[in-house]
Amino acid sequence: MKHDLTFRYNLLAVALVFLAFWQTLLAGFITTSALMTAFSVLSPLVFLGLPLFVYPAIAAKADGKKYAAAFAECYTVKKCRGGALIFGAAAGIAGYFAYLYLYSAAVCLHEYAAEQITLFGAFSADGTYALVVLTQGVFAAAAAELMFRGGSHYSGVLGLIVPVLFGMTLGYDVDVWLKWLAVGAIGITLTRRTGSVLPAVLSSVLFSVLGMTLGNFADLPFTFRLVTSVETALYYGLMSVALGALALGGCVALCMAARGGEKREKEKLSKDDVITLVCTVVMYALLFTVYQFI
Amino acid sequence: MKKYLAVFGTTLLVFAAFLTAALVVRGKEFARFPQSGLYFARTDSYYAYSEKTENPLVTVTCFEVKGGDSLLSYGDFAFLSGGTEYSPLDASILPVFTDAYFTRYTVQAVLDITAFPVGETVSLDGIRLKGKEGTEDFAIGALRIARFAGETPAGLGFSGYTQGAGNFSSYTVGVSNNGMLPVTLSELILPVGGGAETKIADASGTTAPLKDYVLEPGKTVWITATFRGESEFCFNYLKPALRCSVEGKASVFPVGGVSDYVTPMDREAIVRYLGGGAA
Repeated sequence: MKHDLTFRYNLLAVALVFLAFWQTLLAGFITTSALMTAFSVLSPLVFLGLPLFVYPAIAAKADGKKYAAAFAECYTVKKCRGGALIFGAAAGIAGYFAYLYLYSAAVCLHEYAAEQITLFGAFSADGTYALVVLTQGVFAAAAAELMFRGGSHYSGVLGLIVPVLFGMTLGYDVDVWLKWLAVGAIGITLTRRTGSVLPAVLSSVLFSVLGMTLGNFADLPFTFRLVTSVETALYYGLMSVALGALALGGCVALCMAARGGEKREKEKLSKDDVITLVCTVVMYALLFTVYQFI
Repeated sequence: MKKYLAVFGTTLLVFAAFLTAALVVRGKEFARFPQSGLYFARTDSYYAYSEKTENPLVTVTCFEVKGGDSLLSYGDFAFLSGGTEYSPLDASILPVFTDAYFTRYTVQAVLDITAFPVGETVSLDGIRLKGKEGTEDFAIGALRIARFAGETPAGLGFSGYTQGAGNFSSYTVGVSNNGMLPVTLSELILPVGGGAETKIADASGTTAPLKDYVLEPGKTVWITATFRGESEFCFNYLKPALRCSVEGKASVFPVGGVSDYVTPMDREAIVRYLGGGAA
């Protein structure tokens, strides 16, 4: 059976090139707002691309006999119906508003409780780095497996916990945690429901586009950036909860309503599955270690 | 019922519950403020200008309780004195603080000094906001503009003055006679609402009421005006005038720059002030 890996290789190339440019951007060589915006919009491809395409592509190349067929089966991009793309786009938009308002609610209510206008601080400490890399490797890899194997091994509660942890371990900052939590959870759910990665990619790119445009160039009503007093923080916090819940409900309903994936029977974990998962975990942990240092 | 509809229905209930809670919180907080609209802080200010000096820059404070007309929705404004309008040559409206319930603005205007008669004090007691839907007048207290023809006597200098304070308590200015002739200091003109008790102190610390004090060449004295009727909040600006004479020739002229007496107010103080009937 011949498997078409072109899409995966292309996305891998985009992810790696973007990664290189992203680091250049962070190093201060790129300062124009247009380029910064463009790179930030593409950033989901890095986070989706690395765990989901890098290792499988390398593994498939390295040992075609043992793993290539299995990986190609799992990772080949399948076509999807047009309706699935619409659901993906709508879920990405609703997901962004859910993220924005729920994060805003957390900041506002924290400000009200603390009786001062202050943002969450980024927390980073010596000694936590290894733990972060490990959890990123474990959970991100598990999420990758979940996404492309259809969730047969990670259904039920674990299937929900994994993407949550995946999102939470992608950064030290609460804002980043929540952002990638939302992107990851939406993408994985859409892939499971539609059987294709395309709605997930579309949703994550739209999520990021909204984050870059609305998030940076406009202050939406009732968001934490407009809070200037503790009294306003309580009002806006409650409004943010309300709007965030509405958007979250819409996003979840859209993800649940998406169709197109094949129903899979539950499989038992084989020895190869375990090896695959462990290898993916190790490779992803290494990738993130490299990413942290370059 | 399909699961996704049940999920969305549940979130609609959550949305309704938190929306209700938010509106209750909003209503409760708004109840602490007076009715929606504009409230200009009452000022008790005095600006003395020379006939030949610059145009006066005056400042008033406005609080906007949200839900009604916004100050920024008006296109123009003018100060009022007994029905006469004094339009500004230039103006700026700066939002000092804003939240979901109110905004505090500082309104500054440059007035045309030639519109004020020499030797008289004009009391601007209102501001007229002009919008597309008509005009609206608001009381601002008393903002007095005085224009004097006199000039500072040769050799008379001012070694500093009170730049401002958070309460309306006193004003001090140092006066040095660097000329060849003695100067008779008669009065520090500061006609603010509660009146002021003015004293003069020399280098030895001896104080006396300011009345025909002869300032010899080479000497420096300090004139202090202590205001009466101090209130909890003030939005006052002072630029006094000094009456003096040299060899029997009297003159009145402005002293120093504008002193700011504006009470620093936190949110609770603003709520208290507006509740006390600002306008």
